[in-house]
Order: sequence, then structure tokens, then C-alpha cells
Amino acid sequence: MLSGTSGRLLRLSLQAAANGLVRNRLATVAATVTMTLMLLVLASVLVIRAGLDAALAYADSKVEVVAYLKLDATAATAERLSAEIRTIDGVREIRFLSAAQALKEFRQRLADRGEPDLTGDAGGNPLPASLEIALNDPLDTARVADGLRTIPSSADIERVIDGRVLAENLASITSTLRLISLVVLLGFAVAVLAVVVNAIRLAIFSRKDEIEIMRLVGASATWVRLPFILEGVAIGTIGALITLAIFGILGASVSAVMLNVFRVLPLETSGILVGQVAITVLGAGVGLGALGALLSLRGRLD
Amino acid sequence: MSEANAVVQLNGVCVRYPSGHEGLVGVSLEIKRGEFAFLVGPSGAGKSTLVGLLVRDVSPTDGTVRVAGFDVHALAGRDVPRLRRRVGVVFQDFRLLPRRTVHENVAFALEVTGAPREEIRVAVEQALRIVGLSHLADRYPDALSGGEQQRTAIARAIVGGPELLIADEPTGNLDPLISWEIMELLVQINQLGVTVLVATHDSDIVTTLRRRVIGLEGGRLIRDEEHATYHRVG
Repeated sequence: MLSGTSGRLLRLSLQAAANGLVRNRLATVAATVTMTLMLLVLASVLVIRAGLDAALAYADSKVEVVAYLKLDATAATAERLSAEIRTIDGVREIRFLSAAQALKEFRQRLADRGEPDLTGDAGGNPLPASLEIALNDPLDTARVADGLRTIPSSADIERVIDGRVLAENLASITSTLRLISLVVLLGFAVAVLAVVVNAIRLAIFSRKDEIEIMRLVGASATWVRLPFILEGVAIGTIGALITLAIFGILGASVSAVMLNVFRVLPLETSGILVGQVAITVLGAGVGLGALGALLSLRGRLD
Repeated sequence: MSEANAVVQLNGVCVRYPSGHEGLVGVSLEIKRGEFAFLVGPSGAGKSTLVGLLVRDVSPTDGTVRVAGFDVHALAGRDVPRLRRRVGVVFQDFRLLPRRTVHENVAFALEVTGAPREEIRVAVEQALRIVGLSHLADRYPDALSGGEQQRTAIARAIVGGPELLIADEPTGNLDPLISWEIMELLVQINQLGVTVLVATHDSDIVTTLRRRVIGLEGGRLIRDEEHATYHRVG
């Protein structure tokens, strides 16, 4: 519990901060609007990044290694190979796709796309049987693909295709987007700090007589500075609450957009995502508001 | 004179402003506990610089300043409020907060030091009684005369029980009759044991009261006389 003095300090500082915000309402509104814009960008980036992360996780889960067998390979060969492949670390599951099944699936895909089936002209089944190997960790792709080349029956494997390139491309796109979003956010954060610093400096200027008297009668630095820090925090908090209200109102539309853009995003994460966005937006608002106030007070009011 | 008995002690104090202007040049003086002294001199003589030094608004380029037991310029920044609570200051322009009543203006000086509420109430009532403003405690500054505003400022300066009261041109904005009332109030406060230093141009008051007169000119101490008049005799 707050002691009498701390409680009174907080009460009087809150009163002074509220008066200051109202007295300099133009600067307060400008700072709050800029803060809200920045936090809206932050919230959007968080949501988009969550979508990208989910998409990447999904792509990672789909990364697998496919071993195409020689055309003359039999089911017994495939079984022997499967047994040997299971000994390689990182292999989760192996699915055998016979040549006949491969041809059937290929024809189905052609039919789905409405393309003519020319496989009959090949005079038999041109497709090899294959083993689709799912992995525990996409990072194991290279090791498992290399392992396929060293197992005793590797001679029965015609070709190995792994999903490394897909995974690497997705990771590269995601990291580029992360970098861009970081730069945009930093730019906005600097703009927000500049506007908050300006608002607090105006507040200091408009209360210079009061501050002068406070110094004169021996007010401690905390008494002089706290109202201004609270003003910064208030600007950040109001900006964050407006941002969250906008997200609350537009929540349904945002979810729809997310589901459209990131079809793979599991729905059950959205509740956690909302919580994370709310905490981050509130934290960023309060933090930037306080930091802006501290910057504007630096070297002043001593 | 013992150091413990001196409320103000300046030793070889020089103040040179960044512009090169000499605010004070080698000033040494002591003001004893319970004394009443006038600080006189023409504009630009260094009076405001000296007042600024005593509350650490101005820093010396040389020499030492001791006030109420503090080595003023050796104090850490966080300790400066402790010094200022021991020194009450009154200005020509009153410097009251317009949105606070007389009572609130006086209480403000104690509120910002974190004093307990009951202690503030008792101290404010006593200070208002001393300056004769108990009946106007709920008025706002703009509803007061100049003299009443200055009394409020004096009440604020003494409410914390300072060792030293500095009045910088306290009668500069007041007519002669009110000026005398304010000066009588400062004498009365001095009789309560508070050391008082009054920087003033008012020659009638200085000459009539015949107190210690410290004279500055061009930043130099040119006279320091007991029971003196405004102008040097002879």
C-alpha cells in the first residue's frame, strides 16, 4: 500500500498531469493521434507476422524428402528401403507410393485442372514408385537426404528430391518482411517520440511558473517531474486504448482478411494472438509515452 | 564570529557569466543568525547574482558559499531541495499560483516537500496569522491587493520555518504605505528569530530602519556597515 506521502504525491501529480493534458489539448491530441497511428501499424505488423509465422510453420511441417525408386523396383525393394531409411535420425514417417498410385494421382491432378491426359501415349507407366519421407524437423532435410545416399540399398534409389529450397525461400521472405516491418516500426517510434517530447516540452513551458515555485520551495525532482512523466504515460495509454478499440471494432474484418491471406493459420491461435497484441500495444504505448517524457525532461528542471 | 553562528558565509566568491560579464568579484561576507541586513546597490551591481548564489540558481566561478550549514555548490543535485527548504525567498512579482487560493498557495510549499497533511494545516494557519491574512485564506490571488499578494508570498516563504528569508525587491511593485507595512512584517518575522536579507532600492526604508547595509557596485563589495543609511555618509 502507498504511504500517505506517496499517495498524495501520486494524487497531486495525477491532477497536475490531467490539468496539463487539458490545458495543452492541441499538443495532447497531436501526440495521441501520432501514437495511435504508430500503435495501429505495430498491431498490424504483429498480426501479419503471426500469419507469416503460421504459414512458415505450416510449410515447415510439409517439408519432406522424396526418394524416387528405379523403374524396376518392386514392393519388396521399397519395404527393404523403408526399413533402412527408418534408421536415419530425424525420420518421422515413410509413405510408399507405388508407380500405379503415382500415375493415378497424376491423372487425377490433370483432370482437376482440366488438362488433357497424354500419359496413355507413353506406352505404359512412365512414373516411378516413390517413398515420401516426413521429418521431425525441417532442419534435418539435408542430413536425411544425404543419409539416403549412404544406406546399403541406395542403388535402388533413382533420385532424391528434398523441400530445402521451398523452406529456405519462405524463411528468406519472412526474414525480409520482418526486417522491413522493424524499420517501419522504428521510423514510427522515432516520430512518436518526437511528438511526445514536443507535447511534454509545451507542458513544461506552460507550467514554468509553477515549476519555478516548486524549485524555489524545495520540491524534490520526483515532485517536479512526475506529473510530466504521467502525461507521457497517459498519452501512450490513451493511444493504446484507441488502437485496441479500433482493432476490436474491425476485429471480425481483420480475422476474415487473415483467414483469406493466411489460409493455413490455425483458428485456435487467434485468442492468444489478441492477448499478445493487446499487451504489446499497451506496453509500447506506455513505454514510448514515458520515454518521450523522460527525454523531454533530460537536463531540465534540475 | 563562529562558523556555526553564520547563516550566510561567502569566501572570495566570483561569478563570471558566459558573456564575460563579472556578476561578482571576490565577495566575502557573513550574516549571523538572527540578523536583519539590507543589500543595496544600483541595477547591475550584483544583488540578484548574490541572491541566486544563496539558493544555487547561480554557480560561482570561484570561492565558496555556505548557507544554513550547507556548502551550497558542493551539494549533490538531489540534495539541493534540502537547502531550498531552509531558505525562504520573496520576489518583487510575488510569483503566486493563480489557480490556487491563498491557503493553497502557502500549503503548496509544504505539499511538495511531502509533509503530513495535519502538519501542513497547522503550519499554514500559523503563517497566515503571522502575515495577517487568516481572513482571506480562501481568496484567489487575483482578488487580492498587491500588498496582500506579497503577504501571501511571505507566508509561503516562512511556512516551512526557514533559517534565512531573502526578499528580493519585495516593495518594488507596491505604493509607499504598503511598502512600509511589508517592511514592518519582515522586521516582525526577523524578531521571531529568522535571519532576513532584503535586496532593495528603497532608500527611505533603508535609511529609516538603520540596519546593517551591505553595498555592492560593479559586482564588488564596496561597504558593509551596521546601523547605516542607504547612502554612505561622508
